[in-house]
Amino acid sequence: MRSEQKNSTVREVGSAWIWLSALCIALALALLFGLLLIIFLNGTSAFWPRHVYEAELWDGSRIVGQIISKDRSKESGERQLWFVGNDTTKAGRFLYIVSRDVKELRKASEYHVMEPESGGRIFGVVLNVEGALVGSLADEGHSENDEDRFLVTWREARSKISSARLLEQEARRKLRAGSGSGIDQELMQRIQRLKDEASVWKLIYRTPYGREGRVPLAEIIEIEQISAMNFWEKLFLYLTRWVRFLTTEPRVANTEGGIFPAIFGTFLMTILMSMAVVPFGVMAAIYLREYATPGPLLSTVRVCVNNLAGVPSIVFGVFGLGFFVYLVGGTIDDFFFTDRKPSPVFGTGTILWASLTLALLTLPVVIVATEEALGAVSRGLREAALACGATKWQVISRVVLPAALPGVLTGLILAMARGAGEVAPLMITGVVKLAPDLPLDGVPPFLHLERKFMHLGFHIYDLGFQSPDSDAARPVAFASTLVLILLVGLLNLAAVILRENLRRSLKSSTF
Amino acid sequence: MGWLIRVMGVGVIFAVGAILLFIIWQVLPLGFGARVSDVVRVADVGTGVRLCGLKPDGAGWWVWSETGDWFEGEMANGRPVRVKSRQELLWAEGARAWAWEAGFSTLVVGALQGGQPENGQVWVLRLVEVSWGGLDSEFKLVEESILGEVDSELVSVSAGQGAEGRVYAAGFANGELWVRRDFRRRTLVGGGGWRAGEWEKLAPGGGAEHSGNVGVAGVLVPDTGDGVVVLRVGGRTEYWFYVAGRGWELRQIFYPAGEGEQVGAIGFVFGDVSLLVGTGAGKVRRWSLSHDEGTGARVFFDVGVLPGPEGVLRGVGNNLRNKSVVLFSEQELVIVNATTGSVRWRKEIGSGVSAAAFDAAGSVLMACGAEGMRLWRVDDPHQDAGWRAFFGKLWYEGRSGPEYVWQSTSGTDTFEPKYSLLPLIVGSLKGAFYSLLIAVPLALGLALYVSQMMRPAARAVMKPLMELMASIPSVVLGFIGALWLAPLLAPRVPSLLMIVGGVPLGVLVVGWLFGIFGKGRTGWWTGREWFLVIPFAGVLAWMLWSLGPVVEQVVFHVPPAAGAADAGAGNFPTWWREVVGLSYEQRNALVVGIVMGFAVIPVIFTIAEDAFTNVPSSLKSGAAALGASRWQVAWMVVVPVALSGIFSAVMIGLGRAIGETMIVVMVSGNTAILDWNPFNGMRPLSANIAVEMPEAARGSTHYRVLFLGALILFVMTFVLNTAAEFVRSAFRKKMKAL
Repeated sequence: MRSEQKNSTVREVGSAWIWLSALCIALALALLFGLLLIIFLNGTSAFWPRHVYEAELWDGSRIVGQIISKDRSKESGERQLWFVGNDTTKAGRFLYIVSRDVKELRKASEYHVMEPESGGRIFGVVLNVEGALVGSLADEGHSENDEDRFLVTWREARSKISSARLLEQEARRKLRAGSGSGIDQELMQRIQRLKDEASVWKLIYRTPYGREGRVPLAEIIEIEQISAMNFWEKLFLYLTRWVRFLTTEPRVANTEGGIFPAIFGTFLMTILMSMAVVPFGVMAAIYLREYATPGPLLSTVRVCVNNLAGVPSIVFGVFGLGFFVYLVGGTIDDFFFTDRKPSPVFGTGTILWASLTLALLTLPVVIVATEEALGAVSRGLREAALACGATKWQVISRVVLPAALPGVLTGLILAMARGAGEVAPLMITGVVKLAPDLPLDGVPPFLHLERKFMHLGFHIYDLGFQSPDSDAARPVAFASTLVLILLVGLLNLAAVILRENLRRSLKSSTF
Repeated sequence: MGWLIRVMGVGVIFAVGAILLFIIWQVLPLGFGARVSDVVRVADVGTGVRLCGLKPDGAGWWVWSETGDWFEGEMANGRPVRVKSRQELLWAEGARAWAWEAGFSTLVVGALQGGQPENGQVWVLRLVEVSWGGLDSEFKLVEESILGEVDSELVSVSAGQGAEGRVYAAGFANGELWVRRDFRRRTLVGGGGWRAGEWEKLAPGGGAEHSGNVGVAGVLVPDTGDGVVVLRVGGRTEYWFYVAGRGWELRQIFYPAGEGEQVGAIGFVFGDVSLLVGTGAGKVRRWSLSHDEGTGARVFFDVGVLPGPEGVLRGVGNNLRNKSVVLFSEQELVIVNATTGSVRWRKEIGSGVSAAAFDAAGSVLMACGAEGMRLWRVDDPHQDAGWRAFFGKLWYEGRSGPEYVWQSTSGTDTFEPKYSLLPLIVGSLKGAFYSLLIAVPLALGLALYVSQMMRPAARAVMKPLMELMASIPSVVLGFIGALWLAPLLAPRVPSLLMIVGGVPLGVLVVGWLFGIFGKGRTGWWTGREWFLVIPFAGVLAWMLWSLGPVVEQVVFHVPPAAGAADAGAGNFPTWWREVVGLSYEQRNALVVGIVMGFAVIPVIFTIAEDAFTNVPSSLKSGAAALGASRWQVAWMVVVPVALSGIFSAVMIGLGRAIGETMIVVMVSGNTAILDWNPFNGMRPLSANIAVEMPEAARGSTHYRVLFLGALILFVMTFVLNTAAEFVRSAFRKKMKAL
């Protein structure tokens, strides 16, 4: 009886420890989902149209703007962070207002929110367009005709300025290629004409504080009466903004605009990395698994390769800088680009060296995954092939490799996920905060391996830590983070699904 | 095809090994001494050479001897082309003491007026400006200033020019010290000319206890133009300082070699902050100007001993680039770095050395002796490297004591880079320690529960979730940690501490009660306890979080300063600073621990879970059959058996934490401080490399030191991982045998 009593006490106390270890699950889940939630909420809300509010304060002053966030502080209670735009009467673009100071708050649906390419958001009532036959837009009874005309003019101005930019890019390219003798005068004139034509139209607006302002119509990216929109209109605007974010180039020191070059750079770098890592990784794995004689030496090599995966990525970056950039790149420059001296071509960080560095970094991942996949191919298959008179290489290339392909792919996708998210080694081997040209374009030789590139992960770091106005950069930074997480998450998901399929098919294919 | 695979396979494996070799190859030059090649010998440069030097353009050299002979030579491609000697230079008449002041390109000559002692000993100081040119450098006697009548022999002269003033000093054998300070004329446009001051005689300072032979052995004026260092024959050294409005003051008397010990020669290191003094037995002491805690004045401190040349030190030659100096005695020449004390080069000269000098860049060394003149080309790019520089405690110039400092770049010219890797290594270990403090208990508890308690269906979800956690890029973690978590936690540290202590305690108590009231029965909750824990822990955490500020008011109350009114409110950061006395920063080790813990948890989890799962079920079912509870099976059978697996999991987690880069770049605050304070930042090796590598010039010492940091990281993680791997494979074998 007594011993039973004692035993049950131990059981009961044991349950306390089980609960404690269950707490670890709770904490880990809280950490993981908390992080994902923060990124998701901040990332998705970055582009949701915010209402324009007008607040009257107890001290008699009046502000118009968007409320970005609310928080509590010990001294003053609840405060609101307002974005008030580039209004010269206020101290900055962002303003903290203590909630109790607000006398009256109302949705100000009469104001347009205008997003120019530079200089920051403008709030105001649109009055007219200078230089175009548009009737007054401010009147209550302005016709739809006027609005249509306005839209047509706006579109035309935008198209003119964008074609001017395309031509400018072409001129720059020509200049760099050195094909033409100096600057193409005719082209420059065309660019100037387009610009002049576009800048004729100016949008006239009245600020909330009664001042009249003008902004070139061609510079306006978005103009909406957000506070007057219904949900569906807002949703449409929201999606438009996402599309624009994903497809355009960054503006205003990366704090606004899109992230297309960063996505593109990440993508291209990952592809180049895969092209380098797959043949070498697979061959090394085939050698290790099929050709090398097992023994202490082989297992040492295997341990070393395995451990290489644990070597910090920055060490690979240092190696990449010293070996690829300075040694190999410098030598290439010495032999082939003597005319470009002293400015380096390959002797500086480029997308090629960054990709190769990451290929080295992810090599162990591919080797280990491939080896595992090769090992999982059943003996029966091999022996059957050998019995049919196949040579060793035929067995490997026609039987073993196809069977191991899903495993190799899993390794590759994992390597790509790792490569896409890695930043530290790239920081010293070729990533820049703003690359003027994409590494892949329509100019021969199309793929420009010697160019620097932008990368999503580095973009996030840059926005968060090196941006002059990190408050303004926050929405873009969070949205970029969301995109990166989705990219890496999708790659990992693909790997997981592939692996599950592989397991299932292996189970069924055993003799 | 097979051979191709073989070649490629072996090639890839070699390439992988080549990474280590390449990094070592980049680091190796740090360990090399100076490469010195003997370039030139010129036999005849007169006898009794007192001064020699290299022209600033690097195209020539000059020698001036006691006999009044001036030699100068041209060099082309490092070879001597022509030599020319001149005699009976006007300004050399009656010269007794000489000094070359490179700072303002002037030869300072102390001479007896008229060259003849019988006219009464009237001494003059001549300032000769030199404009260098091929073989015919021009001398311009700028000023001949009469000191006055001194009935003794002139021993040494010196001059120095600072921003405000210019000081001349002359020391005599009878102990008299004559100084003169010129002032820069202030004009609206800027630097005007110089207004000459009056000669003053400074009597040997100190009272009766400072007797001994007061005859001057040498004077030195630093290029700050505000002081004079006088070395007396008895070994006593005086530091005189000019205070505006008050004139000359004796600031310090010290015995650089020890009281009563005789000293050889003295000389400044580049920057004129450190004084090198030759003592007996081939040693040289470094005395360095630093702030005295008591008086607040800058005085010389004994900084330590440098290895010197054999015999009595005869002179010191510095350069205008770095802290390397050439020290010479009668028998030997030594190039040594004054800060680290590392001997760069050592050469015995049988015929003796009477003068030696560096050129401005420190790349050509010149020495003169009885056999004439010799030149060496000195190639020493990493003169400030060395074991002591990286891992030793060094007293850097201007500091108040020996320290471990990492400070690789700065704006000023006389700045010496400080390459102590210790704060960085400690930073890495500190970050890893705090992250393991959070990750190890969490990950192990997680692994134990998932592998031993959890229902299989939930387990199948948990493992991919952990993989998802592992796949989150570290740049994202760092970003969220620095811009979201750090500002969130900064004002709520007490809340965090309460949650860390309170939630586990609360869960333990509830679990215990659950066991008591449930009488240890199993039910639907078995293997689903986490489901119950989540809401309970969540509510508890939220309560403690809100309670934090209240507790902060009471517990972390800062006692008001004497006389001041009690502010009433408690504040943790202030409390930590004032009561504990340590600094508090928003981006601190605790936040790094949490964020990096996040990155390490899945790593440890995966391996530990594997180890727990690998424990043979025969052991577990055996224990269960004997009446052990689930917890008893887990704690008394599974954990002890899997202990080595746990060890390897922690090792690999440690390796990951040490090497993690982006998180620490963003969250750690990047201050290279050597401490373990959880509320202070740090600068780990990895972050340091990422931040400084882009600005380090290829092949420079800085660049190679960063490679050394990478090598240390490589070796640390490789050793940890290999150890873990061996332990793990041994564990697997053991498990198979069971």
